[in-house]
Formats: sequence, C-alpha cells, structure tokens
Amino acid sequence: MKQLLVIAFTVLSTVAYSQKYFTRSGEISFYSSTPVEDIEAHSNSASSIFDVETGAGEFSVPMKSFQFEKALMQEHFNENYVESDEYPKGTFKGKFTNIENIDFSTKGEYPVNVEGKLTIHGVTKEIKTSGYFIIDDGIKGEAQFTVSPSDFDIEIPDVVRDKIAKVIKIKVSMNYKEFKR
Amino acid sequence: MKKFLIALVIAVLVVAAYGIYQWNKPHRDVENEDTKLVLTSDSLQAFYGQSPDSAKKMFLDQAVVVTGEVQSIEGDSTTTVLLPGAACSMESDQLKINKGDRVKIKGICTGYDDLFQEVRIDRGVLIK
Repeated sequence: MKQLLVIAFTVLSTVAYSQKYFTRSGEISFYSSTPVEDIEAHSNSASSIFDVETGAGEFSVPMKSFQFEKALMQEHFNENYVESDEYPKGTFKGKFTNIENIDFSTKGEYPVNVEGKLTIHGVTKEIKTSGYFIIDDGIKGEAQFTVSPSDFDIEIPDVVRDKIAKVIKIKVSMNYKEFKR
Repeated sequence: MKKFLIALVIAVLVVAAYGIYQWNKPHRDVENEDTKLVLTSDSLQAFYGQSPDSAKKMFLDQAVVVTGEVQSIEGDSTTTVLLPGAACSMESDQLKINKGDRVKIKGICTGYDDLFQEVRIDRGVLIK
C-alpha cells in the first residue's frame, strides 16, 4: 500500500511539475514593408520548449534556415545584415506571464502575454508582446511583434535604406506536442 | 566616336545582364552540391559538443551527408526526421521511411540547437 502511494505520488508529481511541450518545426516569418519593396522570409525550423506549469518558454531558430524569394536577398541577409556565419541563431528566452489563466484541458483560444529576452546578431533585447494559445488536439501558440534592425546593431547601408523597413514585423507560430522523455 | 558609343552600349548591356543575373540567380541546389562532409549524425553532434568553434568553421552552411537510424518523424509545417543527435528539416513531406530505418540525409548544416542539444540540418533530402 505504501509502495503504491509512493508510485502514485511520483507519477502525480511528474505530471504536475514537468509538463513540457515542444516543437522542432515552428514557423517564424518576418516582413519588411516599404513603398519601394515588400520583403519576407520564412523558416520552418524553429525549435521551442515551454513549461505548462511555470510558463517558462524559449525558442531557437537557425538564421540560415530563413528562405527568401530571391537568393540574392537571402545572401545579403546572411552575409551583410545578420552575419549568420558569426551569429548562426536567433534565440528567445522568456515567460508566458499569464499562464495560470489558460486551461490547457479545455479547447479554445486564450490570449497570452509574453516577455523575455530576444537575441539576434549577438545583441540581446527585452521584448514584451501578446499572442494566443489555441488549444485543440495539440497546442498552437501564435504571437507577433516588431523589432528594429538598429536595436540589434544591424546596419543598413544607404543604397538600400529605402527598401528595408525601419520596423520589421515578426510572426511566430508553433504547433506544440507533449514532451515525453 | 562611333566606336566609343558601341563600346559604351556593350558595357551597359554587360552590367545590366550581370545585374539581372544576380537579381534572379537561383537558390542553392543542395541536392547536387558536392560534399566531402559525410558522417554519422551522432559524430556530427559530438564534433559540435566537443569543439563548437571549429565545428562551426567546418560545418556551418555546408552541404553535409549524415547517416543514422531514424528515431522519429515529426512536424506539420515541415517534416522533421530525427536522427541520433541531429534534426533534419526535409524538403519533401512524402518520405517512404519509418522509425528504425537507417537513412542518409543530405542538407545544409544550419548550426547547433542548445534546446535539444542536437545539430540542425535544413533542406534535407534522402539519398541512396
């Protein structure tokens, strides 16, 4: 009986304390829009883990995984702007601050607030944004925020200044699955 | 004078052609790229684990061929094949492989993912 209790307790505490969700194929896109030109790039290779109990979450995306329509733009992005040979990934480490308001066992769409540290091009900035968790058969997390290249020490040369927006929109969409060890 | 004008027109055309070629130049054709970097997925992971800097110099953005036993196949926006120590984002969603198969995947090494402690391969294709 005592053993059974120990087992039951162990199982329960594992469920309660380490319910993590993950993906390796999260989508991150960014959009630069100016009167001269619209540029977008997409990656489907972002990895992410978050903890349902604490709300702690992070993601990591290989900069080389961003695909542009034009190979030339992709080359400029990697070589001149984010310098991906030197800084191969973008990372975010933070927290869903209102995780307690989300009922992960009931289907629906829940607004979430996210804050944390975003690192691109070797520079870390605090960001704060909001998004949604859509609870269905899995958990889908979506968020949008904006960044300025200058905040991350990314210099845009004069010749292309009109073609690259001062503020870049970033969309994040992750289909999470339960993490089983 | 006439000669000069002809030369100028040719020069302008050459520059324009080069510009147009650059603007429309094709994306990398990873599948047909030659590579000498052929290794097992777990040894690639070990490289990154032991000396991240020299691994970065050697593998980042290079076409690589990794071999290993399929641990799982996951993903919805893109199919990701998990080998020991490496996660490969595949070009195709229709892969005739199963968990436990030994496979060879060619793709671009995009770096090391600290979250899962594994190497990331992008634009992966199965090769024989």
